[in-house]
Amino acid sequence: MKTLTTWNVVRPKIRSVSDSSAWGWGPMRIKIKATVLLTVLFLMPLAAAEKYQVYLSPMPFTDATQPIMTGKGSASATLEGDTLSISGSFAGLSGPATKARLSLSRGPGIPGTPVVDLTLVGDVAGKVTGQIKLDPSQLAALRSRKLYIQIDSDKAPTGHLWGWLLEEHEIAGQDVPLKGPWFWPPFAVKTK
Amino acid sequence: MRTRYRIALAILAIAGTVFGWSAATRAQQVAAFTDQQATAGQSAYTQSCGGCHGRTLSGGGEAPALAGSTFMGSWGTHSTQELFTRIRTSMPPENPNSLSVDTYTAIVAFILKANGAQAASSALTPETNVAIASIANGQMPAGLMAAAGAPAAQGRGGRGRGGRGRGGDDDSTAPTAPRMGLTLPGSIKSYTPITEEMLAHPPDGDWLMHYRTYAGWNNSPLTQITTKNAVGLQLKWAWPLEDGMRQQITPIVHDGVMFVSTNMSNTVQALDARTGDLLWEHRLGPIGTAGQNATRTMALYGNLLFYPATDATLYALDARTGSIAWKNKMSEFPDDKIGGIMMAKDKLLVGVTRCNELDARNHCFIAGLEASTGKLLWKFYTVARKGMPGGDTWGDLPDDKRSGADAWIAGTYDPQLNLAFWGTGQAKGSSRDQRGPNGDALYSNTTLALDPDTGKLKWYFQNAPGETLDLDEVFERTLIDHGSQKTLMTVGKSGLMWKLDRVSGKFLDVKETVFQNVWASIDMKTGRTTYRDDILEKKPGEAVASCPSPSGGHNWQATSYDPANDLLLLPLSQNCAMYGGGPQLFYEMPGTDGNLGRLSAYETNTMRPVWSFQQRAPFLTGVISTAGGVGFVGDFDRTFRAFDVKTGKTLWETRLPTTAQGYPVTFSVGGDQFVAVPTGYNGGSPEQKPTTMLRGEIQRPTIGHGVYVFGLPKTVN
Repeated sequence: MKTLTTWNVVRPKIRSVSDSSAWGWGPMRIKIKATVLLTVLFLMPLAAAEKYQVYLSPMPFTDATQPIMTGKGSASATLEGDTLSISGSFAGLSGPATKARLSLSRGPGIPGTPVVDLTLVGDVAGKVTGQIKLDPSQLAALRSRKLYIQIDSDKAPTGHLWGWLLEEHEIAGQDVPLKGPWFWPPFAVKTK
Repeated sequence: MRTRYRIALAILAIAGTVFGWSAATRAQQVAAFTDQQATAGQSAYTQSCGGCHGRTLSGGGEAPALAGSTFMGSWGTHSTQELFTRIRTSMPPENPNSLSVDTYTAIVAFILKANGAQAASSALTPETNVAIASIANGQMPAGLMAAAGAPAAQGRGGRGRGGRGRGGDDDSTAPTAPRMGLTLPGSIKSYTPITEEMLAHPPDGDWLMHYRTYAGWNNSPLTQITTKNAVGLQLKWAWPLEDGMRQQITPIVHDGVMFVSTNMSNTVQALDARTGDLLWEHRLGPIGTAGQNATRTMALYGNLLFYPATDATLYALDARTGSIAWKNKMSEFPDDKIGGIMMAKDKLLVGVTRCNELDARNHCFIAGLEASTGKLLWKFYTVARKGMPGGDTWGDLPDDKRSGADAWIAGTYDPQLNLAFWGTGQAKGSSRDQRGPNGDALYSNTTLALDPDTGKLKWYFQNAPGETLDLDEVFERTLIDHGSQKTLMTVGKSGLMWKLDRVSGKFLDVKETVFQNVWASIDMKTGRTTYRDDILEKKPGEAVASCPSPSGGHNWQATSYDPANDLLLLPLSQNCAMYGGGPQLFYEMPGTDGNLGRLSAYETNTMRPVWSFQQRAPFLTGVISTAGGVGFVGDFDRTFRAFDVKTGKTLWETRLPTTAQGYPVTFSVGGDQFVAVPTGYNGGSPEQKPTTMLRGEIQRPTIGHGVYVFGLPKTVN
């Protein structure tokens, strides 16, 4: 099994060094410098912060509950080492926000279970922050798009806004067509 | 011993008394509506609901069943108050909360009665809050079923079908009934009969069939409107279509004549395509409640125009005069509808849909007719029954419980292979836990290759075996050649874009076009899809997350193929739903930032994504493209736009009175190129589901069925 084509996943890129003769160096120096360069490049992804973005939108609703499921927001998250830092804001809720948490699910768009509370400041508009040390399974969950932020309100105590932590990506807007490939979170696994 | 016996008897007696009292009390408590309410509700249901949900409440198309195990599985754990609220706030879909509270209450009473609940002396109110499973068992009373299955009163507001006009029956009790029949006879002199050669190679200025070409390209060779001058497009004429019911038409054009229809009264009209003047009109009927199925397709052959009326009668009209040449009732089951029609040489192929009456041995089919006479030549049933090839894929489910696989979208045709390609919809009940067995349920959600002369199945490929989330794979099959390789491409509701070898049906490739979280894996050797575990393990009454929602990543809004750039242009929709546990709960699709609509272009040879743009409003028209490099598409927010096919950049846009909905076409008359777009509402789930998310945000009138025709200024011409 291999994962679905990940052309739409933003990752630090490693440039090819295959054409070393073009650099005009001797074979030994090339080997040393190439080794150093490769080591640095290899370590770069580990050291570089991973950036994620969150679009907060209303939880599932019906026509009847739609009037109370108002509001939206956004957040960004940075993973440095095993520490995830979250900072976001929201506005337009029909009632005061009561709780914010980081939750775990099977994948984007699928309800899950709470992992840890986040710091919530505000009322019908406000801010959400958090700094969480992730264990290996939570790190894997983050990288496979299974973590999401949920904000409850007194009008919707079991969930008002939610949004998944997705790798940073560009949004294709109206009148600004995005040349492919463009982003959406891959989910299915293609097998042969 | 005797004492013990007496004690035991006493205990039993007391227990029996308590139980009896308890049961009686329970019955009194749970009986929550009166017979008068249920009777009034039945009338209101027939008037306002039956067209979509079926006269026997069996559901149909995208409307869920409102009786039986399917209904109880979804609603049994919910309360009467929740059901009332759900119906009041969402129905009728084109105008929720438009009926009186008493009427909504009565409809709920009727639904409860239709599910076995007993009427009593206390009336149901909007505040009545009783668990549905505590008063109903899903068993429809036999008498009620007979009444529900009886032909409904024709006409809106209880009016009779007949009118005072030509071709109708006199009805003195219906003074406002419209004229029916051939209300304006035509005498078009310059009409050229359509030949098989013209169907295979349509004249440049014509749009002779649903997708314009046999191959389903929705592409025109016209070049007058270009990426340079599209900015100058202006309205040339407009024509209102009768409001009411569904509106998703394709105008078709030949020899400067445009044919349009409305399914409110099954009226067909011929218009001068240059001026919009009416040339003839035939009001075929029936009117009203029977017309809830969308009439998307008409077809032409010889001097005949074929129109599928909403009562499953197929009409052949003389395209020059509007008079009836022949008619053929395709099904006697009252809920059955004609889903799509197409020509293949001299054969008229007809898909039948909404055949969901369980226990009635009613199954959907595709039929072949002799176009000149209407004679039925063959039927291919899309549900494999016991003893037939594929019959074992439904497990032990009796034949009369096997339903669905509706042929509700017209197919395409390859004259060289002499094969017609059709898609089918999902099995019914729509989810595995409703159907019982977890088999593949052939030929639901399948690509069929049929011989149009005999109906013989040449090959099939099941795009979604054992589908369970109402994610149809029924939509257009686009035929594209890459060198010597003959391929077929299609996109289903889950957004998977399939490429098959259309000679053999062999799977070639698949690509996701919107975010989806229902398929956990796809076998790239066979194309077989596998659901997420929790979807497979879903129990009755449980809800599972489905991205896309049953309104579909792709739906009836057809794609266009631009051969100049090898681009397939896809109108896509981005929303999700919690599905299967009562009312569907909608939400925005992850990764889209709230953009419900997406228009994307893919290079078909490589399946490579080329460009994409998205917007808040979903697209509700098909897409067309032209050799001038211009594409056209319309949306929920009343915008109709021209875009550069190569880049997706908007070249021109205009606002229309209501939602742009249906299939745009382009044509030429007297050397001038025009583009036409229908407007309307009640576009099925692609329109109704986003409404939940856009209510209060995007305002649009729920009147305004019509067709708008644009062209370049004379100075440009």
